Amino acid sequence: MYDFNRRRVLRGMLGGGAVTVGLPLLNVFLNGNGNAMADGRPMPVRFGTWYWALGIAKAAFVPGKTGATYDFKPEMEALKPVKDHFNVLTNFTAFRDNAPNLCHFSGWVINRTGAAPMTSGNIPGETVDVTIASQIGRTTRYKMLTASADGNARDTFSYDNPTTPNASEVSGLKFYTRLFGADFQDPNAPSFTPSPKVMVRKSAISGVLDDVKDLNKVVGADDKARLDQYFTGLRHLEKQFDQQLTKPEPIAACKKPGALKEDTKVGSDVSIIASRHKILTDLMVMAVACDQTRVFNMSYGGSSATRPGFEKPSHTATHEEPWDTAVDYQQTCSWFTRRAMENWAYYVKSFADFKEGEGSLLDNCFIMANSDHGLARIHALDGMALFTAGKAGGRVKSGLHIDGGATAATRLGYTAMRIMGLDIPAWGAKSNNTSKEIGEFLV
Amino acid sequence: MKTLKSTQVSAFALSAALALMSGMGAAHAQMAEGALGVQNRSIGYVMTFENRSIYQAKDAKTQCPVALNDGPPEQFKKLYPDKGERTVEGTRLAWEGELWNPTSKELNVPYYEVQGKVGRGMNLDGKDDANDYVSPDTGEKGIDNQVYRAVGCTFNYRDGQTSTLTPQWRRATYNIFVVELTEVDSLQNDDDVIVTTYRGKDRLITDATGNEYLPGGSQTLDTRWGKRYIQSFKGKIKDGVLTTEAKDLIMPAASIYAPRDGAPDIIYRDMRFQLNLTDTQANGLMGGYADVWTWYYHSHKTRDSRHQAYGGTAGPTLYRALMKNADAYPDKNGQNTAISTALDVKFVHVFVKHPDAQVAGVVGTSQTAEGKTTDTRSRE
Amino acid sequence: MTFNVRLDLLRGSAIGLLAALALASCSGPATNGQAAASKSVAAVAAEPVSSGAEPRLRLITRDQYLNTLAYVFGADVRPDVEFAPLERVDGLLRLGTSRAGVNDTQLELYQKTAQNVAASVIEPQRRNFVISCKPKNEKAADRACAEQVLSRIGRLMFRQPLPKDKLATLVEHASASADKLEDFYAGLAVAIEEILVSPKAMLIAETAEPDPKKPGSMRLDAYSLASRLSYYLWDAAPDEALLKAAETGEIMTDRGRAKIVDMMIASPRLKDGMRAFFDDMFDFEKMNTLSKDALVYPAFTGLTAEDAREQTLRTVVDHLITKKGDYRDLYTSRTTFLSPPLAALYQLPTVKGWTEYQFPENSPRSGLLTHISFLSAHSHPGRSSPTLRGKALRELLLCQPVPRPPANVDFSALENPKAEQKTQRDRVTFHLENPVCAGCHRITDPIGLAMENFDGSGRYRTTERGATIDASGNLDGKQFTNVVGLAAALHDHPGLTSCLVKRAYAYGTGSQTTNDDAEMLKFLNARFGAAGYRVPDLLRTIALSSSFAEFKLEAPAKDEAKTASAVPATE
Repeated sequence: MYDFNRRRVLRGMLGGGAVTVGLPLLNVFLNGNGNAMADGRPMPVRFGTWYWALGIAKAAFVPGKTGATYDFKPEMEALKPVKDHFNVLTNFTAFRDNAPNLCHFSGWVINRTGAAPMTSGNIPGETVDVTIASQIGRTTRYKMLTASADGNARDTFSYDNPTTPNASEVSGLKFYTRLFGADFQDPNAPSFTPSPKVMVRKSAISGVLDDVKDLNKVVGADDKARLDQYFTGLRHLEKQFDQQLTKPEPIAACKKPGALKEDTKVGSDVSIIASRHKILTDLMVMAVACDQTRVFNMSYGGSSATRPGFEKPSHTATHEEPWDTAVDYQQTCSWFTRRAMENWAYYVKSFADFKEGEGSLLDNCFIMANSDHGLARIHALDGMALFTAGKAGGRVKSGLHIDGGATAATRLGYTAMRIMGLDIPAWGAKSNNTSKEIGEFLV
Repeated sequence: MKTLKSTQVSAFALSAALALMSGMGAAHAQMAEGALGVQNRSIGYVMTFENRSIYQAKDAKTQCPVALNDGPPEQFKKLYPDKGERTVEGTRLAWEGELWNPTSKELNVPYYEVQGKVGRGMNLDGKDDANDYVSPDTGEKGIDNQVYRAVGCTFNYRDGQTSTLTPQWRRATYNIFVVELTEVDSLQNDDDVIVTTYRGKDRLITDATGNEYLPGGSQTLDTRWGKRYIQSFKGKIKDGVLTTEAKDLIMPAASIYAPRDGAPDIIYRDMRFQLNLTDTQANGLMGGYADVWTWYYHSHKTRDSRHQAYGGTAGPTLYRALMKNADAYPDKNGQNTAISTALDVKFVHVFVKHPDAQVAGVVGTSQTAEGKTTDTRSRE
Repeated sequence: MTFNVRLDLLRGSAIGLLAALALASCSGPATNGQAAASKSVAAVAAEPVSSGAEPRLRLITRDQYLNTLAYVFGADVRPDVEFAPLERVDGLLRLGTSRAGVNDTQLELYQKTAQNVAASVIEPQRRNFVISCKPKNEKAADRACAEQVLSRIGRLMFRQPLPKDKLATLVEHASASADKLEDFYAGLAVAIEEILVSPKAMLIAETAEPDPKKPGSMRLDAYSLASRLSYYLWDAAPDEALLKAAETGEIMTDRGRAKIVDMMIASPRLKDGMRAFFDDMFDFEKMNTLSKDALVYPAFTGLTAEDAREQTLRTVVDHLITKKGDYRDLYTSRTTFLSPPLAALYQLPTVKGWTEYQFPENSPRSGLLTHISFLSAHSHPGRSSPTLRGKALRELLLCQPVPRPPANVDFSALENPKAEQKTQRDRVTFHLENPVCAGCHRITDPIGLAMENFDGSGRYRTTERGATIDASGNLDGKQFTNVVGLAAALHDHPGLTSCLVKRAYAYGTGSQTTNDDAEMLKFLNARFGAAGYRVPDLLRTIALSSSFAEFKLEAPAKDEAKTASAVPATE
């Protein structure tokens, strides 16, 4: 199995032979990468997201060259020090077909759910982080964690279904308590309390195993093999439940942070948003390192951010600030985007600087970042910029600028799901439907 | 993403016509579909873009040397400075009064009009007056566009700003503006055609981005408003360019910000068309004299205060500028009530359905087909 | 089969018989399928003895799962879920369900979906509707109430009554969980999850019993027969009425089975079943991911792809079920349905919403081959493909497999056409000149070239790069000058109806047809012809046939290599 090339396996599965591949994808892939914890267990690959509002200005952002030796325009300047850790993807489109352009909404919804919303109260389905969490987030304390530096719990880009948002953590103090308060079971500590819900669910599986035995009495020899496979799958579920009911193995990198002395500040000045972003990011990094979750969402937001001495918030500026024809963008809007990118750089650096095993925590993550618009001034859904960060346990390379050629932005979500082991042939609705990975950054 | 180029389509239509004429064999000659050009001496187009024709020089300083105009917050502060005692009547109510019942009283706040002689539009009166503009494209003189003078230094009316709200609504849901050309023998040269404007009912068809409008859609005409939005113009086509006589026209311009005021429509006096025609598109200008009050009222009904603020559009000075530059249809006191203007417009081809007409091929008019049954409980 | 069913089988109209005979007399080289159609009247009357269709273990499809959930819990319980892709066997994904395994990843998906469904079933606003009793105490177990609810859900999801011990186990799990979680409904949800994730729900295990009327033969038992009929005709699990008929044994009597089949065919749910069947047969799964080069075909979007599929399915259901039309006429019919985005792609006027539409007599649109769906699905993203279209016609509509290209094929002549090669015909001539290619391309290209008046998005055209398109071609000896001629030739091609019969039979029984089924297929072909090629009649004949529900205990050994169609692969 170690010889399997990941993409070949995925392609083979797409070819129609998928149905009898019996091994859990993640194990196959992870072991092949030789990146394991000290005790030999494979390092889990985690999935994260990051969001910033109001897109980019092409002239100030999009590098002139693609590939590994691209140039940095002013809006990306802050990202220079972490260049090797991320990919920047430009010129992607969120297609809305016959749906309206719901300002500051359609764009992110398409990026995260694959479908264009018909009304502003309508999320067309679960978001990509939820889909991935259902795949990889079942053994951890939290299926996923979501935080927003914008200071508003409603600012979330994660939905279980059209009416179930996953509210954001906005208070550093509360987030700390939730993660590392009394209920925190330090993987390096001796005590552990299993979840009663998982316990009853596990006991129900035993009844299902009996159903397999029942059926075995009535089917032919060929079909017995298929039932065996079903049985194995049920055992796998049992094992997953067991894992959730078992005291976690010690994790060397996990260190419960010291209690926060004061809560995050309230306010919309970019420096205050950045301070909240820093506190929430630091907590998130440790939550991931302590394997409290394998799926994490962070929003920088920034649409209501203000600049000292400038009377309008960022979003208003996109509409009211004159277009500077000399540079071909709006100066203050671009200033706000640059602040957002500083925060993205901090986020990437925090994961990159955190040691895990022989590499960094970021090496075992795949993070995707997106915004709500391309050029926000005209609520553009084309010319969108996206990012990835991390190496996903060796499945992804970074340091590249990739031009999407106006293709679907949903390709990033689709690629992310494939990387995280979801066996899906395609993703997205109508013109956002794609079965094309962004192959340039896949190993 | 680009829509199908008109040249491609024309070439296609032309070759189709040639193929038919050359008699490729009986079976081929019988087959036909998808010709978007003139059919039964008619062709329809639906408006996809509309913007006030405001010429912008490369350097805004040449047109607006001082500054762009103040918006409501800035103007409010200047009109009602905080000098001790302030009353609601003397500030906010006074402002609202000026907005909705503007007076001609002199206001001691600055307002900037466009400077210079260069501007786009149409020569409406056939004369070259002192106030007229010269086209930056063709050098044509005598262009009448005093709206340009009045609002050309206001952010909202400059390229790509929130003045595009109305055209968005025109495309998406309501205010759909259809023109139908009849008695057409050729889209190249025809001395005598009729151009009729209508309000339409159906959503426009787009490409996958939702931004580019495709020819070949259908529009059912909306006749629930009687003759209000129906106007006929005599016209002629020369070298593919349609020009028409001038007539009064009401453009539907309802706003989602004023749902209860269903029709803050704009009345244009002596409106005329000048459009480059192809089988798939009609692009060019509409020009005439906008009735100042409906133009002004529409401007305030179609934007909420946020858009006024975004776009630097302060009602009190705007109204005065329009009245000052109005150049036609004087009232009994000699005050002109209409102002010359031009619209940059784009249309794409649509099949026009008159309400009582049967569409060829369509069986019935409502959903008759068998979709998936969703409620399985109702089957028995 | 008893007298009473046979009588019904004899009820073929004189016109239908004449049609069958006329067809036989004017068709080209004889094939098995044609031989079937030309059989004597006597052959039409009696179902031949066949090996029958064995019981199968089939994996439930996504649509079957959702259709069943809608019946059991209400139409709004519709989890957003995609099951693993199925293998297409002998032209049908449905046959892949008899082979598909379930791996760990899929079980995780089933479990997650079950958890979501159970959670929404017990939601406060829904529980009063789905849960027929109220617990004495919401914070504790209530065995009686749990039993009442679980026996209904279990019976519908397992498609048969729950054995006592299974029900007891479920009630026990629900109660223990309710006590532990201090929530009756949460406990109930655990047991509902247990039902939904069970192989008895996700796999359809058909079981058989000795046939008392035919010693040495086996037949499906009552519940298995109910399931087979229900998934065949409705694409869903049996409803209460069907289960009741199985419980009372009514379904095992000829009269009872006929009554049930007639009820099912008369039900609106037949449309769900037929949409599923034709979606499968036409390989419309392809439409899910169909995309075109937006620069070449801006009018073809994801929306039009969806609508194109819907257009054809509506046309099929309307023609075959609502209007009870002749199957062959689907391929020449000018009646269809249009939506505004689709009409813009056709460049035709229309009105709001889906509407019935009649292409005019001089229109190049004649039948399903000229729908956007067929034309665009079997094209490249930026150009048409005579080869893909010809291949699709052969494989999907005539059940004639076309071999794959050899591994060492040189595509350069096609990928880099010379400047003078303006049309597809100019370019694919290469195929026919190259002996390596010619063998197969002679099977596909002359058909596909007749569809060249439609570009890769399905839009009509008369020229390509300035050159006039020659859309002449031939189908198994029949010459024509354009696609209307092709449609007429296909209409009269005996393989067209025999292919549908083969697919419909295999789809219903869940078994790939083999040479052992040749006589049965001949019989069905003749019956189909006698009935004027009315699909509801064909469904009825199949559903009431002996071989649909019976099989020989010692079925003849099946040789996979001999499982090709009754019609040879090539002419």
